[in-house]
Amino acid sequence: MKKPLLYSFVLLIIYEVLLRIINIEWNTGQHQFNVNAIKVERMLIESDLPTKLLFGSSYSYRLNEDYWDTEILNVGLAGFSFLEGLELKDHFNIKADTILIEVNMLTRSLNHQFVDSYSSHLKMIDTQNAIPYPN
Amino acid sequence: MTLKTLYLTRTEYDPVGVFGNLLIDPITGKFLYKFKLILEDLFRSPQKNHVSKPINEDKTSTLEKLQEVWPLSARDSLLIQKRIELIKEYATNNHSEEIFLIDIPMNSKHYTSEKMQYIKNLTSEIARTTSNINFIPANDYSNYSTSDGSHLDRSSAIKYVRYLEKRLN
Repeated sequence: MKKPLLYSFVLLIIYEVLLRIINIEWNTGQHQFNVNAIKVERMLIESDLPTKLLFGSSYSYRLNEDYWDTEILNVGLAGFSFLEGLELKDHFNIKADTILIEVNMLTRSLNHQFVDSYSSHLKMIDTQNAIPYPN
Repeated sequence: MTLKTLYLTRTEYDPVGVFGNLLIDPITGKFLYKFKLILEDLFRSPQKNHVSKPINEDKTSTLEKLQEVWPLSARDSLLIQKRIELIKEYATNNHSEEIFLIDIPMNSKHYTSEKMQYIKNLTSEIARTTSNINFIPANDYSNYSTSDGSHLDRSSAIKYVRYLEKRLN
């Protein structure tokens, strides 16, 4: 009874230490929402984005960027549809040459809560940056 | 992805790390709450919740359940029309962008369902009438396999990406 707990405790500490010291080069998350968040934030934060963007649901989600020969940003969001990614792309005026839209999942509605969580947060940052420094 | 982005993302959503989240739950703020849930899960009697079924029986029932979701209802057809109109509006407002509509292969029952046929018909129509919209239908969907009865498995996803890249070029 004590041994499994002790092993779990030691493994958790090793995992925690590894997470903090190793140079992570892969795209991963702890759960579905976390991966969705990473995908969206890459689109919103990174400066040199690929010119091809893919929007869709979990069907697109499976088309991992590593599988492509050409550079592409996969904004396939599990549990959602193309609407959330395209809405944020449009809202923040992100430039692209080619847009791929997955049409498998067209009956899902836009998740306003998800989209608003980014737009309101980033608007706040913009406003803060816009305040001039006092002379 | 740059390390900086990953770091920012990780620290924003997981400021105290995995171990820290076990000590103080980030959602409820309770001390050792998640740890308590894990312990409860570990020591729960398996007979209470787990009902084992043969794999084949499980698969069939899942597929049947999924199939029930896909018939075309009046609400669905209206939603699909609205989405297609939205894509058209987006394409009209963004002339410089080339838009490709793709239908990703999935379970053959879904792919040949009434709903998917309706989507494909509307998508083909919009691609025919709008200059910067193209439609890339999936090639032979029966060549692909799924990992869960719906989503492509790794090898099929790679195969489909190759096909897609060929069509995009």
